[in-house]
Amino acid sequence: MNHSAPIIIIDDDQEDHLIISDGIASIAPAQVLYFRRNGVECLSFLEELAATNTEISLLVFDLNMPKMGGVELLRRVKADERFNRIPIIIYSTSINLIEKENCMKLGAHAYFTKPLSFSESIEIAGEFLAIAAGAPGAL
Amino acid sequence: MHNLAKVTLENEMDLVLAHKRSMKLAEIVGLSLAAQTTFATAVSEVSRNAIEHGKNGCLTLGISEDKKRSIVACIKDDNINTPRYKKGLEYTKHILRKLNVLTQHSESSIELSYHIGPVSAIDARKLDEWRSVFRNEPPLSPYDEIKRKNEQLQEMALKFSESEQHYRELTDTLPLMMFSLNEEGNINYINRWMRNFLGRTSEELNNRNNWILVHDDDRPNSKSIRENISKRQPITAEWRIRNRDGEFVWHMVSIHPVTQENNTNKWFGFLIDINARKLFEQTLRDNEELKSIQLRLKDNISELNRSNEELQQFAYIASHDLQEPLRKIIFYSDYIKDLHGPGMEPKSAAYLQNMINAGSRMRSMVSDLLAFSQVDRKLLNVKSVDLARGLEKAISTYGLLIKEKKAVITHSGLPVIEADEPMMQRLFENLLSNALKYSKDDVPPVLNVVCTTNDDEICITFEDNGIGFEPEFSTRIFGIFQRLHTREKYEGTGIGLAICYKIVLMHSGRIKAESKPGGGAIFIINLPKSQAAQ
Repeated sequence: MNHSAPIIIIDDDQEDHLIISDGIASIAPAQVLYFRRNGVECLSFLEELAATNTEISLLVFDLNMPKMGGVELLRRVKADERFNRIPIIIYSTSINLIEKENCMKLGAHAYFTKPLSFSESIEIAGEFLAIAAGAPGAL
Repeated sequence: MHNLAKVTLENEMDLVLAHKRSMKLAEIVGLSLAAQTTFATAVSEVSRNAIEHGKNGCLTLGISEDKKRSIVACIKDDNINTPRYKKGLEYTKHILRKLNVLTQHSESSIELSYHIGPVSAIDARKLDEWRSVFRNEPPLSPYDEIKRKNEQLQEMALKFSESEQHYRELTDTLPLMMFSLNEEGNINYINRWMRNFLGRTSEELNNRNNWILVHDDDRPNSKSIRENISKRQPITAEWRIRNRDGEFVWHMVSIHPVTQENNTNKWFGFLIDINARKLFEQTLRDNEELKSIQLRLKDNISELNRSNEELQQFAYIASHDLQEPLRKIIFYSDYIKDLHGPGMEPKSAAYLQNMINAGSRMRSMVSDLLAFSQVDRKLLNVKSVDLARGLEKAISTYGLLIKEKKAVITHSGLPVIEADEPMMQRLFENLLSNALKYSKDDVPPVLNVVCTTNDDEICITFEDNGIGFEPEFSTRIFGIFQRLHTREKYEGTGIGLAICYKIVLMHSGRIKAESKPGGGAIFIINLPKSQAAQ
């Protein structure tokens, strides 16, 4: 599978970084992934990338994170004209109908529950890559 | 007439007194000796007639009250109207022309009056002066003296009996009970109020034990009463006293010893009705108690609310944070199974699979618990919800399972009501999944959803043809983690109906389950059409 512009994963769980990168590497080894641990780190990283005109193909947000969670981050990114065309995936442990609806309303592209099995993690990685490939090429 | 002197007419000696006093009266008002004699003679004649023919005669001497001043002699007698008496009076008329027989208030009297001409003002002082002339006049004779003393005595006796009568009337009309006891404790006297209250006379009271008139709980012990009596100490207490109808009425009791002149003892007792006050006090106490209970209740409620909220938070955090490590355990176990499963020794492979299963089960319980904790009144987002559409959505969620089980689902009458849409959705999904899950093995599930409405409520029934349940579980079925079947037979955490119950409750509705004989269950849900007033 061809790789896209870099994908940024925002999650405070280091193990999840590993699971995602394993999954993606097994499909598209050359895909560039950036990891940040919360909303605040993500926003400043986005500023850096904007300054160097770096393209981003996908943002993946966990919901429960210290400092700034996924919902607030989603709201901020979608309110920023420079970034609001980058597809955003909500990637969380628990599925909650209310949270899900809220995120979709705020403009999230999709909502994934974190994988329970190895095969599921590969599937999800595939989904991520597909969405990243279909992205309009944000910046 | 202003009375100045009085003579009772009984015998000849009284005649002398009548004459003397008439002379004196005429004299002190300043009449001539001739006039004095005329007046006194006339009075004597009338008095003689009274002594001879009359009965209980009495002469009163005085001054008239009208402007034409006269001295007056008035004779009262029981026999004035007898012919003999009247005839006797004829002789008097030639002596004194002014002689009237008056009848007033069925009492007849004879009045003799003698004009005394213009005199200087007769005022109260003058009258007093003249009265004292008669009073201080030395007795004319020993007879006069005895007579006077006798009259004084009689007057005193009369006054005394009047005063006693007066006193008795007073005590009878007082709205309190009074009684007196002699030294032996026998009742001498009870007033009318007490007689009426108890419905017994003092004689009746003396012939029995009167303690039964006092309420059991108020009766003092006989030892302390005996001590009071022997020490002649007053007794004061508040007792309930039994009235004539057998009802007990609160009274303040006060019994005081009185030592009489002959050194014997007597007791005076009073009973005052304090029932109203007692009732008032009791009400006040009850009220006070009620208030403190209310306060305690309020405390308890806020305490309960607080702990409820904490519990809710705990459930949310626990289930949310429990998810994460659980997911990792399942994921890594799966990873190992995926990579090394094929080459694994069979028992280890089976145990690894059991581990994954147990983890998954716990995960679904935790996620159900999370779902349960998220059904929260504060999160209620009320708007118009089309229930028919909600049910259709739920049906499509379970489309695959429905097709698989060849289930038939019908619905009718589902309206639009005010509710929280995701919660209604959840309610329908849970009931639907319940009907599909607990179906009979060999019969395709049928679920009929029927809704009826009245003024402000709707009633939805979910009737299935499944395995039903034992009637004694009809309330337990809604408890959290309540399972009626083994995990092997029917999967599930036992939280689905608990969530249904909570959702309905959050909407101020009611839900109940009924089991049909021969299998099948009916869930009946009542929901208000509007949440506005909730």
